[in-house]
Formats: sequence, C-alpha cells, structure tokens
Amino acid sequence: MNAAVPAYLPRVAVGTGTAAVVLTCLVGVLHLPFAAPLLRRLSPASLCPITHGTPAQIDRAHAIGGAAIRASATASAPSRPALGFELDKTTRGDLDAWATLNRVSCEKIGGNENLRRCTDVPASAVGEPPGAGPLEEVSFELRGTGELVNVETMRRHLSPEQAVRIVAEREATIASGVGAPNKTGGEATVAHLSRGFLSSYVAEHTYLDYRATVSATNLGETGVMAREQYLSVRP
Amino acid sequence: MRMFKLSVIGMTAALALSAVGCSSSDSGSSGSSGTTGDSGTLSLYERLGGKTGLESFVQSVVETKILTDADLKTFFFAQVATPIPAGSPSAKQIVVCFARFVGTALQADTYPGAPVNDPANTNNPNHTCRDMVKSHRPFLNIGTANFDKFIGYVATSLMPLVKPTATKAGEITQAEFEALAAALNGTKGDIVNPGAPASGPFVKP
Repeated sequence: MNAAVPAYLPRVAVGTGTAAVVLTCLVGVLHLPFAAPLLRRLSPASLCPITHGTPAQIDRAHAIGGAAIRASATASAPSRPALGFELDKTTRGDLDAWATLNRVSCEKIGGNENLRRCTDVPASAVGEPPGAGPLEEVSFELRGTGELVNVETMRRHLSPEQAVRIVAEREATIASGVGAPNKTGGEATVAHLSRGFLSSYVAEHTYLDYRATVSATNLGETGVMAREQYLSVRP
Repeated sequence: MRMFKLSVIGMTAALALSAVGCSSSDSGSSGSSGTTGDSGTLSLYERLGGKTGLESFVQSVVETKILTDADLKTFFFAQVATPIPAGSPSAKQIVVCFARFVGTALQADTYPGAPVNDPANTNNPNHTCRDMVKSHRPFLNIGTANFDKFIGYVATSLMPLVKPTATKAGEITQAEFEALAAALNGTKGDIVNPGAPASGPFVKP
C-alpha cells in the first residue's frame, strides 16, 4: 500500500497543513486591534461593520437619538399612538402573537433579537384602511428589557396619488390623537410630490416622550415611498 | 458600516459639488453657493450655518433619524461600542468629516484637512477623513431599501429648509434642493449593489 503513495505526498501534506496553520494565525493576528490599520491598508473591505450589536449597543443608539429628540421638545404627548401597539409596554411575545394572528412573516434584523422586520404586511394588521394597500415593511425595536420602543413602516412603488392619500390619512389620524405637527416640510399634494426626484413631504410630532413622523418621498423610477415612525423617547 | 457611512459622505460631497456646479452654470445668479454670495445675500454655506451649522445639521440627522432607524442603526454599532473598535471613527469624527466635505465642495473648507481629534475614541483618536467613494465603491453592498431610506432622511431633513426666497440662515431654495436631488440620483447606480439584500445591515459582497 505504501508503495502506491508517491514519496512527495507526505511532504506536500505537511507543507499544506503548516501553511494553513500559519495563514490562519496571520489572519487572526491581523484582526487584533493593533493590526487594524495594516488590515485596512491591505483590504479596506476587511473592516466589517458590527452588524450584530449587543442589546446594550442597540439601547445606546436609541438613547442618543431619544436625547436629541427630547432636546427639541417642550411637553409630553397627550397620547402615544403606534399602529395599535403600546410603546414601552408591548413585548416580544406580543409581537410574535400579532404576527401569528395576522399571518405575517418576520425576521431578526442582522441577527439582532431586539430588531425585527416584517414584510408584506396587510394594512388591516396595523389598523390602517385596506385601501392603503399592504406595507412593504413594518419594523420594530425593543429595549434590552424587552419593551417596544419603535414602530416603523415603509411602502414604496406608490403613485403620487396613492402616497398623498396614505400620508394624508395617516397624518390626520395622528393629529387627532396628539395634535398638529411641530414641524413640516414640503406639501402633501400630488403636484408637489410629482415635481421630481426627492420631492418630499414630512410632518413630525415631537414630544418629550414620543415622536411620530409621516413622510413621502419621490424616489424616481422606484415611485413614491411613504413612511411612518412611532418612537418612544422616554429616557 | 464604515463603507456605508463613508459612501454617504461621498454622496453628500457629490451632492454639494453638483449644487456648486449648477449654481456656477447659472452665472451665480442665485448666489447660492461658495463662501460669498451676491452683495446683500448669504451664500449657501453661510445659510447652512457655516462649519458649526453644518456639523450641527449632520449630527441632528445622524442622531434623530439614522440612529432611530431599526435598519440603518445597524451600520453604526461600532460608534456606540465601548471602546470603538480600532480603525473605526467615532460619531463626532464622522460628523466633522461629513461637514468638512460639504464645506470643501462649497469652497469654504479643506478636505481631508487635519486629522479629526476625538480623545474619547481611544483606538483612533486622530482620524483622517478619506475619499470614500474611490476607496470603497468596489466594496459597497448597499441594498435598494437602505439607500432609499437614507436618501429619504436626507430629503425630509432638507425639505423644511426650502423657502421661496432663501436669504437667511437655515434656508435653501427649491432650485438648490433640486440640484442636490439630481446629483444624489446620479450616485445610486454607483452606491447600490443590485445583488445586495434590499434591507438589513451590511453584508459582504
């Protein structure tokens, strides 16, 4: 049997194995903090983003945003509508039950347990009129302690007429609960949203403990994008 | 994350450069860019608040829009890590670079300029701003939905500044807005990877 094995094969095997170990070690060393500048020079793409954040990092990002939003507010919200969910109360289990009830498909964002995105969501699942059409995405963020702090929606490929109808209805619903927006930009009209790429309308309702935003943006060939966000900004 | 953020810087630079170009081709009739406007009017850079105002605007967009977006925040986890990983700039350094890039496009600042100091970023206290489009374009893997979300935030942050006649700080004209939008539209093909997931965090191409 040994006679059938070429004499050079063991040397090749040992050499290959040694090279693999050395290269593995080298790659490992290059990923240590002190070697980052060298690694970046060798391959800019090698410095990957941290896509999987810890719950503390997710909370920290939320806290920074919340503090900046509170800085421009003067009063607490009279109510905090969030598409039927309860900010600072709804739990992951509640979201799971909602998804099951409405036959909605959801996944973690980047493997983060506290960030979730559900796709192709019927309008009725979030209490919106069926005429508004399905939502391309509904995303959620939970605190490290498990309570819901953010609900976002996105619809794209809308006509200006559809977008105007949706944002007008959403804005009226929010305003009926929390009052007029503190800040607006652009116009919720077909003429304005048809003006060209990035023509936008935005309305923000900012409070010390809450921000609701409704917006529509012309994305050119992707149509108009309509978005909503309901955010708890309690410390 | 780094690639995404810095591509954003590149896009913004392109935006600002285009605005300058458009204004120049109009023989400066609007006096809307550069460091000096027509007599009696403020330049675009001045109306954007100069260095301090630009930094404040960028910081506000990052903090109140990007960091509160369930998808886009995943590109910024390094900035909220302790310590910030080696090689990654801090949020403060990104903001200064971003504002400096726009200021340079408006001929009112110098890019990359001196390293941006942030002692809190212990692994990278002196960050040198870079030409991110050239150095990172081949590595970008931005999906359409994330690109659209980002430019949506840019647009809806700028839209409240649009006034029929922009003469004061914090005001821009519709023409300036449209010039920026047109430039941004032109970058989509370079930024978006058709094979990338539409949403979600950065995934290596």
